[in-house]
Amino acid sequence: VLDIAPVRYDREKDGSWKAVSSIIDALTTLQLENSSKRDLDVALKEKGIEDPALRAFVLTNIEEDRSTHTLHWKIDISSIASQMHVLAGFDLNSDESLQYKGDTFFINGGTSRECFDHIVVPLLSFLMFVTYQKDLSAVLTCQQLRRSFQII
Amino acid sequence: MKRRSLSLSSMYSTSVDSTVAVPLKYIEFGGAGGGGDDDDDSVQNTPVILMHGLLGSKRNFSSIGTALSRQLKKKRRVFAVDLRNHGDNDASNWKSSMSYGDMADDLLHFLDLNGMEKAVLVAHSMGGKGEVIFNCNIVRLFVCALLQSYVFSSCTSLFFVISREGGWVGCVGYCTCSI
Repeated sequence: VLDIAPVRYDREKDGSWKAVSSIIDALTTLQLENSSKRDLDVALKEKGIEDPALRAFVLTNIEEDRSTHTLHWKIDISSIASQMHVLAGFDLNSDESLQYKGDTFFINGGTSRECFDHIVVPLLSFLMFVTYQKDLSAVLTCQQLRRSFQII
Repeated sequence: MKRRSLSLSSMYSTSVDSTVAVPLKYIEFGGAGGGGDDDDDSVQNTPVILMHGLLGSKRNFSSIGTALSRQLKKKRRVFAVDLRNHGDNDASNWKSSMSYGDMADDLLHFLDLNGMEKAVLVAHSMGGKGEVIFNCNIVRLFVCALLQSYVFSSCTSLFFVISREGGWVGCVGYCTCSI
């Protein structure tokens, strides 16, 4: 599992979730009628999505009909937007039977901007047999990683 | 791994309606039967299923999926799915409910449709939460780890995969800009 923990994310507390929510907000306000993908790219930039690669990524979810040259969503953006509070959450009861009972190796990236105690501690509670490693270097060589994994 | 016939979404308060599982669109990398020389092995061994994040699709994993199907020491079939309301899933299958229990149900349905008893799940972000629910409930056998790196850009994730069953795999690729 990468980039997420089984906890509730809060728009006010978690910068990255706030960014994700803002992107969804921006997408729901896009006017697809009489627009080109280029227009939408400009609109998203104006709405504060600075990263061109990120804009290109989200725009892969809008498709152009070749015969009519009209744009439409490939994905159910309205359901996604209305379910953001569900996606932010994680409503699994802290029932011991729902612990993952296999071995787990957890790496906390040394320069990660995601691994805060309020996220990592609940995550670890779901794992019964966990080996935890905080690595200070952002780049692990394959050899170092191989050595790390020999722990498990 | 213990399989459960019980619907997972029924266990979560977030499920607003008792949805029917969505038949997820998927892609298999390395051609049917896996990318290995020994097709029998790749069919017999536990398959790998890649799950994307919010606003992503199965295509996010093209490079990783292809690399995995070629490089795994223990040959396996490698799939990527489009999670509900995402990717190429037909608009007729769009659902108003998107709880992680729903997503886990969809995945269980995918396993059933393809005759898979168990799977190695590799998941990013939103897919990862669905995977946690799935694993806590069902899956016993998987050891995989992913490592994120900010080396290339803020949105780049490097994927390292290790499998206790299959041995060391190594860095299999990277993808950019998944949320």
